[in-house]
Amino acid sequence: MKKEKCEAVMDEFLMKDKNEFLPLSVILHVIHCKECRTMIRRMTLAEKSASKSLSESIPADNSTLNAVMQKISAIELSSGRNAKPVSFAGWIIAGVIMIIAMMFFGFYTSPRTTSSMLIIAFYLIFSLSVVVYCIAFVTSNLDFFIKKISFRKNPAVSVN
Amino acid sequence: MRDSNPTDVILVRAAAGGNSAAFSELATRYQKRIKALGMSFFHNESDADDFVQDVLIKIYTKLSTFRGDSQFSTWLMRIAYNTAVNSLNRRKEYVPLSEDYELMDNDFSPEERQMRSAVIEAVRETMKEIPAHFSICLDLYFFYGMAYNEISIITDLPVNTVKSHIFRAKKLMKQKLEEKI
Repeated sequence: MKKEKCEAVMDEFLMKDKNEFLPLSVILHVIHCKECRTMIRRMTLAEKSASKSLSESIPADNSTLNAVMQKISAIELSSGRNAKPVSFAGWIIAGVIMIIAMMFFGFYTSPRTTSSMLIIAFYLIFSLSVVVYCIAFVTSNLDFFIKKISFRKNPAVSVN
Repeated sequence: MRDSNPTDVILVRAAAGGNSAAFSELATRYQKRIKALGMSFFHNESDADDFVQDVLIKIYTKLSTFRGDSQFSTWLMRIAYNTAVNSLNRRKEYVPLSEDYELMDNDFSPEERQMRSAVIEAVRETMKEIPAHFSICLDLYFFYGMAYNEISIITDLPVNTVKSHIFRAKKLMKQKLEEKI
């Protein structure tokens, strides 16, 4: 009778996954049955010892890992993964603000109410701002334009 | 206080952000498992080393796609398994760890050695009874320390099938341990 009970309890234990909790019925049986307790302990230790060697880390200084890290460095360099992505958001916002300011000035000033000298001065300032904006935009993103736009002409095909 | 033994998730985040030291730490944790899997599929040291390199580079390039739905070890082993299965260099079938690979390469106590040999014998005997393509399930459970659902994710085999084969191996393992007591 006891043997059958032990078999049933052990089967229940064997069905369990790694780190899965044992049901109360198994725990209660194991408290009283020394044989099952010993077997469960041995089974658990056996499983742990079987997976012990593959779960250990290896020293970082080994030829395979060194080769991998070199290849990864090459990938990083070629893809520019660590480089910051180029964002034109700030430039676009500044450009839109400039256009709105110019339109706003055009709508709310007329030669009747505003002195023509003032209007000319404003438009000169605006045109100067646009020029400065364009120069600043191109020079600060020169690196981006050089990489993205190919200025090279197709090589001439030599005919012998 | 800095964590002297950071978890896989912390290391994955750092490595995905370009921290190569974090990736190196992850690689040292799992290189042995990948190599063992490579040995089972390719059966020679040189091809297994090439396989380790392929898998680690693949993992590095895919790190940003790791969402954390499963454990990192499961995700990594699935990539390694798929790489091995789809490899053009694979000329032979999977050879289980209990047959081919030297598992007794650590300093174990006599009791541990006895238990390990019981596991290996049980796994060997079970493998004779089950279809060959399930042998990797037993290896993953007993030697790689993976759980049922992890094995199912890695191999795409149903959990219940995995569970029943492992149960059979555990039964045999119990018998072997009883004989050795």
